[in-house]
Amino acid sequence: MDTVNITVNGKMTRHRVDGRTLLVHYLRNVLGLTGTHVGCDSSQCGACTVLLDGWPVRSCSILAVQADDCSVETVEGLAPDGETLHPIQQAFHEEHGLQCGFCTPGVLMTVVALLRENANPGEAEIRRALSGNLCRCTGYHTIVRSVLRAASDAGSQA
Amino acid sequence: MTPVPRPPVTPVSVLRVEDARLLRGRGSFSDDLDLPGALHARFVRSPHAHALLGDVDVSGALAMPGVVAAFNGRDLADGGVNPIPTGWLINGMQPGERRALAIDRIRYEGEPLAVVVAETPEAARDAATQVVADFEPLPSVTDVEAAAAAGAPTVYDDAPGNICFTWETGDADATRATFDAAHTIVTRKLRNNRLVPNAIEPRACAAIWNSGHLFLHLASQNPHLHRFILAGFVLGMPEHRLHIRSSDVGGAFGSRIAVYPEEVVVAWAARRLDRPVRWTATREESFLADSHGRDHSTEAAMAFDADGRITGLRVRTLANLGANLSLYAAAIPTWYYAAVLSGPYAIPAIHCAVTGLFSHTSPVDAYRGAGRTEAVYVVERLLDSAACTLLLDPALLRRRNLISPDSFPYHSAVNTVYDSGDYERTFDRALDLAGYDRLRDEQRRLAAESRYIGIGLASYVDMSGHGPSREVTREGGHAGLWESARVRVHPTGRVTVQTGSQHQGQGHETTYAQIAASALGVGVEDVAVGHGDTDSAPFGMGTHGSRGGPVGGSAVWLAARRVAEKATRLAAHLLGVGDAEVERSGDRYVVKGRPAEWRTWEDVALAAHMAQGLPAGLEPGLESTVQFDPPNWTWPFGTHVAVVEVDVETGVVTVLRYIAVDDCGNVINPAIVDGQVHGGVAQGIGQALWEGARYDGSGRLLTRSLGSYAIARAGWLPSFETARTETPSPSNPLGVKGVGETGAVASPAAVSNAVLDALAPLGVEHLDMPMTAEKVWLAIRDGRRRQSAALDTASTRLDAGPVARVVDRSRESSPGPEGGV
Amino acid sequence: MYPGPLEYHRPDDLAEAIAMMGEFGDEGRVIAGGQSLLARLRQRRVPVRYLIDIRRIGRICGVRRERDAVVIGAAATHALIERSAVVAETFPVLARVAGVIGDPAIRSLGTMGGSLAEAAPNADWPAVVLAFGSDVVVANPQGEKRIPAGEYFTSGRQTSLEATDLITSVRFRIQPQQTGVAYVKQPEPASGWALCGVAALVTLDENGAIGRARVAITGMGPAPIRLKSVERSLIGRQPEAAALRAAAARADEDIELEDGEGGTVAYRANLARVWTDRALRTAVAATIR
Repeated sequence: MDTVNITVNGKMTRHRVDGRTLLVHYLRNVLGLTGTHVGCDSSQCGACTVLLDGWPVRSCSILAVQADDCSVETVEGLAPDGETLHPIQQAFHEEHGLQCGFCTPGVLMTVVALLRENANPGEAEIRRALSGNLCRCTGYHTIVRSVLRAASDAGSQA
Repeated sequence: MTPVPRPPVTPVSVLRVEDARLLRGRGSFSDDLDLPGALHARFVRSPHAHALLGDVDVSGALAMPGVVAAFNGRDLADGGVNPIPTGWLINGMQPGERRALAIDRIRYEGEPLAVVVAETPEAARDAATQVVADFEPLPSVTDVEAAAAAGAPTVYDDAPGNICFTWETGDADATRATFDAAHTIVTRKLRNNRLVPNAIEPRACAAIWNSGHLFLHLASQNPHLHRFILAGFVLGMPEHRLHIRSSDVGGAFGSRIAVYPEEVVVAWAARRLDRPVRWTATREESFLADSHGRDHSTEAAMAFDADGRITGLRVRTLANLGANLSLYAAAIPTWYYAAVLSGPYAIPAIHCAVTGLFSHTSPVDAYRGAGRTEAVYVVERLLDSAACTLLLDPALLRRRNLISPDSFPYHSAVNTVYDSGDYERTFDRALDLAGYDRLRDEQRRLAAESRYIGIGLASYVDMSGHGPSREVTREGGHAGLWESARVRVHPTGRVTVQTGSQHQGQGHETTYAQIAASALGVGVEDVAVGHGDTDSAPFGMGTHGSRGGPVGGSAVWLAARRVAEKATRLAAHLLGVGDAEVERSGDRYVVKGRPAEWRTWEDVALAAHMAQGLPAGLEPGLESTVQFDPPNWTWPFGTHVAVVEVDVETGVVTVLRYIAVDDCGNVINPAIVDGQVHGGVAQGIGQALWEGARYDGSGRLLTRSLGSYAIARAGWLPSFETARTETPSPSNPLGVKGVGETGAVASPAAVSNAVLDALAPLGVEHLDMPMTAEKVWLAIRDGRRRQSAALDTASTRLDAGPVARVVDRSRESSPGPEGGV
Repeated sequence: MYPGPLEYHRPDDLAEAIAMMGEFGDEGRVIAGGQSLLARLRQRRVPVRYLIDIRRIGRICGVRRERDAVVIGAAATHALIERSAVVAETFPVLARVAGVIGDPAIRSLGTMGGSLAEAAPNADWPAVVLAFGSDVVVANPQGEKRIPAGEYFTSGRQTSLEATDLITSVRFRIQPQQTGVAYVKQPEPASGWALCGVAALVTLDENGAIGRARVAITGMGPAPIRLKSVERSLIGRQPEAAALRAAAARADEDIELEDGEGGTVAYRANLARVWTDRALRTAVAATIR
């Protein structure tokens, strides 16, 4: 067992974990943050995407011990007050950017990383950024619209 | 047809109620359930596709740390677990045997044969490798044509030739006559590829036994049906002591209709061990053990008169059912398939014969578009072949054969009755939106630069809103497919709707709230919709076959209307006037002509519950439960246009544009309807270009991960261009038709036709799906070889008729779209 | 989904890491981004007991410019290479290569060193490293050594690394004027790995003819390989379309293909020719700035 210190959504967490514990299981089973989902076992679907020190990563493809002393952001950290939505979540709401919602947390975290780096992406850039997130419901059409809207809403507020 | 003048529910894209929790990661998917002390199940699966199964020794697993129990098939049978029944019977069929854990014989790779239950998932995983099973491997067969061949390995000793059933519909004699008299006949051999549904949420369940009650949390499309089958047939326990809840379901597409072995075992183990037990599939298990879709081999022929009018259609299909019969296994390739073989076309005579075959593969059941996708593919591929042969533009040929708008209700040659339609309007709108004539010009222009653009059409009729119980049970269904809704007004006037259907992303909580709010005259935000809980919702048949709107939604509407009628009577009583003298105005009931005399909706709701001075004969409360059984299916229709480019050097196909014009009757929430179309189209493009389960010679599934089975990624698809026409359905009070599957029904055919249109000048007449880059390239290579051989022959022979036809299919000589399109 | 038991170690520096490699032997495995390794550990396809995490050894994480080379640290992630100012100024092609690997989440963690250590027969970096003729820099208990790319890949997933060799960086030598480099790829749709990837480096001489050419291919056969027949037929030719195409037509001469899951020999040989042609055209276009 190793002790890990991981800052999750701005809060320090400290637990003893097995060396083989995946970060996603640390988040879901140890911390109870079940918004991060597991959709596959071959690092293909992206449902488990979180931000590790700001970078989008698959939390099924990194051990919790590897994230020791790192900062992790999950979907639960986007709108911490439980009343309002994060602007990107709001854009997904308004553009019907989700259906079953299972892939959505991973998609949102990928989009957060994209828009932090590129405030005004075009459709091709958005589709490229989403290449690691599988969605079986939307055909990506409204996901792309949602990202465009989030970018333009942020632009109009700036 | 009696057109409804105005849709009863005004179409508004109300933002979804369910988004708030799903966007926050606060949804409640099966694996999210917090279940302290739960044990974890891990299944041991057969590595062989076909084997005699001897002893399954679990003692090695029991000796591993953290293991609480391990069971094999005999333990289950001895413990009173019965085989899982199928739900659709065809006369004389061999029903096979579907056990939760195999005994004596393995019939597909991945078939579960033991379960290990441990304190942690890691421990269960570690111990599962210690189960020792005694196999005697046998030859297997996975391909449907091979299964039908003489001498094929058999799946069941008492199903010779692997035949489960034979079934036919239509009129064989009349069809033969049309073929005898035909001016032109086109034939095609077609394979419809086997698909793996791949909802992104893996299947999962959790069971808690408590003093004679069993709670099962299960991602299901039809929790009541699950409870009925589990309690009544498989587990042999009292139905009222089994409580199933489906909360959020991460996609389904048909794969969560059936009762599966794993949920049987988990439920039984929780009772046996008196401890909570949970299981979540790995993605590899999804590939091996979820029901698959499609997998047909078809020989089809279409007859035409001299004017290019279709006179007959003949279809012979071998349908792969897998190793045993999943719930709707026998329904999908028979009734659900043949019902739309006429498409939107006036075809005087049709005959369809289907043989359902067992094979050593995962069971085959519903997958989005189930049956109808396969039928549309047959008809639309034949039409493009005919256009080629008749030297007619494919659009012109289709339009010439459309059923005219004054023909409804239309009785097809396969015993179905199309409820309403205006196919020409939708067809013209699609071609207009696509800019069809300009596309053909562009195609010719780019051909001069050796760029290969293809334009593909598919016009379809879908059978949705399953389904009228009388017909469903007549055709083989054990159960009719009505739906229930309960509308309850609370004392403060707020409303709860409980439905027997179950969402998997379709937005029921929003659409049903809109329906109830319209019927009651309250705000959408004043209505909460609950579903998926067998203890609180009335018995219902669930959500599949595009029935959530036309059947489930209609039940909500009717229940809410009943409540509204009672509220009106009560308001009239409170106002001291007759029922007919009261009208609704905003939130108030007002006496006609006396605007100062009114009661609010809340006044009426409160009075109903406080029951002070109710009129004689009026029960307290404001609540109604309705079971709606539709008189007919609903028959949405549309025309889709795909535009692709083929890189002839590599065979890579790029979808440039996709245009979908659909008519699903009245629309309640346009954004949600558009979303359903988008998702279906994406899945259908995937079937046409990338998806396909493949097995090796030993029956092992080769495509068993998302790294070897390609489902569409964002960068592979264009944004979609959608539009609608609205022809209300007379089959339900809302005038709606199902839209959940139309995208997936039309798009495989449209994309296939587009690719083959692009390849036509290269001598390629047909390719089976998926049209992977390699397959396309090989076809181009072979086509060019044939062409050059044909040209050699043509130059040395005068009689070059059939050869010239192929050569003539170059862009320059193909007739343009002018001529009324 | 659940790896077998693992013991995790995070050495502070290279010396400690190398010592651990010696100590754990076959049961130990170096992990950097872990994007290939974790998937195999989850599926229990590798008998690894000890992990040695080198991702935070600062010395090997960055990208730097030296006098004669751009040096990419073994633990530099694809995402970092994609965004590196040094790379953008010197060899922007490397940023483009990084950008076609996997997807953004894989690029966030995956590293160039990891890719070379894994030596997957359909990975992207190996072809690029071969075309550049880069040196793979390795630390071991004896000190440091440089392995030329041409000697690095031996056969299917095998390299010339010894048990206690730890890759620390890869050196991309600064190229002469009139050099163009390109990498083109047809990904296998489901996995994103290269069904065929071709890297080409072309230097024009003072007459505008091709004076130097190195072409390497990945996804074709058991290991990434130089296409020497193609290279030979380019030397001395003017870089015109017909000459490039004629050279590319020989792309299948240097590879050994078998029919199998990757496809038919006919198709794959065709891909080798087509993508070699495309790589050459792109590289030649890049020589003219």
